[in-house]
Amino acid sequence: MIKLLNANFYRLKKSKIFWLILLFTIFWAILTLFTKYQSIKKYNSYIEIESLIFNFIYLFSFVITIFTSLFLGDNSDNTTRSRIIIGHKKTHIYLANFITILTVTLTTYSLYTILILIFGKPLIGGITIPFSSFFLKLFNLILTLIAYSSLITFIATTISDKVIVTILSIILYIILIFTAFLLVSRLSETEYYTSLIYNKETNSYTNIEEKNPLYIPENTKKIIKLTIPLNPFGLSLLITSKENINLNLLPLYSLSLTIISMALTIIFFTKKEFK
Amino acid sequence: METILETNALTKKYKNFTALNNLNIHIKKGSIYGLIGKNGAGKTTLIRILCGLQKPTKGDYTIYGTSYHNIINIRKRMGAIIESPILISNMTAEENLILQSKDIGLPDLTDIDELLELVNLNTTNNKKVSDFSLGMKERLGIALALANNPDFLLLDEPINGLDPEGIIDIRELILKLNKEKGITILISSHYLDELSKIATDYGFIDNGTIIKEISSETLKKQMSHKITLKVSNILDFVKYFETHHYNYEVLDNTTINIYEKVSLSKFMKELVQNNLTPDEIKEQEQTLESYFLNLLGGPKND
Repeated sequence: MIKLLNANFYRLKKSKIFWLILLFTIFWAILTLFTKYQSIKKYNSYIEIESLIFNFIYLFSFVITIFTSLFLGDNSDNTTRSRIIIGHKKTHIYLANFITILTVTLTTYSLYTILILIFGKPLIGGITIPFSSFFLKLFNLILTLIAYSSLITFIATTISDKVIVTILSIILYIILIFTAFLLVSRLSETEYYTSLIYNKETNSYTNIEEKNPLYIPENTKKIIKLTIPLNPFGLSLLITSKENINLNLLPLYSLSLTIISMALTIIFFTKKEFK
Repeated sequence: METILETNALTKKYKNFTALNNLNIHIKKGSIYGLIGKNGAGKTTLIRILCGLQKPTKGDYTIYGTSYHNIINIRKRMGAIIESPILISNMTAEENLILQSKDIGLPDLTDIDELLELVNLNTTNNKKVSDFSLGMKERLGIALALANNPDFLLLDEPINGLDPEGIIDIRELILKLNKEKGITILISSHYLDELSKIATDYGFIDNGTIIKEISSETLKKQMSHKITLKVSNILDFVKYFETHHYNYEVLDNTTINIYEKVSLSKFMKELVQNNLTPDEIKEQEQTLESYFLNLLGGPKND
């Protein structure tokens, strides 16, 4: 497998898309720091530097979706065929690809984090939460990134057509991010909301408690709360929320997601026949 | 002579379609084995299975005496091109070879220059593969297949779409690899005349079954002469050939081919004695193509 990794890193070095996402990440870090610094100077805004790092995960996941689809989708079947012909096992081929994707994911996200931390401190200020809490959250987020990468790698490994891989991966990204945000926002809906009614006759306003149609009953809430951590973006939202969440338990969800998608990929990939 | 590849009732089914049907093939060490068959006969399926890209539904095959179930290490001694070479188009020939060498795990990359020279691509320098001609791509594909220094090479339709110059280049390269490096080569091709210039053995495949295996020498002995007749009363000729059990083939309303080893003067005399006078008569050596068509039961079968 070391041979395959060596070959993959050589391909990476020659890959335009890899250098593009690296440049994009540097550009985005600079742009983020510049706009936040301007906002502090002009409007005296309060900005938490850690939120710049944590919230980048949603955009970064999209970047990784595109990178994985194009890097693995490009010549994917051909490269695999060539590797099988010279005697490599399919499981090794998949693992080498997954490790390559993870290396790019983690290197690029770390680069962004380091840039924000180094250049952000004099411009925006230091981390506002305890270091232990910052690193625990960062560790959890990295695990969700690994889980998400494993899902995208599953698509890119099991489907042969690069265009279909890219489209399906983007659809998966949209579905996961949309459902995560929707469910988390619905959970925070209250049972009643207050409406202000104007009475013409008395020329006065009265507060009326109205039933919130978006409110989810407690029993359903319990089920939804259980399903949110099964979505990598749901996990990310839980990790970055201000609520008191048990961060020590969340890695189990990320790891389970990663292991399940890796196992499924190996099962499907080893059964796949090549032309 | 040592047999490199042997299959035993190899069968491959895709849902309701049987691509290979109890196929048995034997390839001797040092041979250039020409696999001949129509489109859909099963040539590419066989090569895909031998390369490990697909699994047989039934049957077994051995390469260097090792069953395909435990063949992963044997594959390191094989090279292959299936349909089209596997190349990365935005890389140069040298970069493609470096990548292949890394995939193989070669400790150093010193053989790359030698490989490029062997396939006559040593002057392409920084030219990307996307700018290569079909022939250059095919030669680079062969170089990639040779990167692990194989002693068994499988080439599926290597001259498809090549211009005459490209075909000659590939033919010479195949002969060189076989003679100088002692590589055993399995080659499938539609270009039967071209194949007849290099193959030492043949396997004729039809409907997923090898219908005949024959060495080039035996084939030459067996190939009959072809006599082409131009006639105006074709029905009389057909009736005569039918009753006298001649191996014949009607090409059109005025042309008949006879595939028999007979003396032309004797044959002519026989026809005249039976009041059959052809307008024109021509004697030709039978080609591999016509031999193949005869094996399948005439051109109607094509």
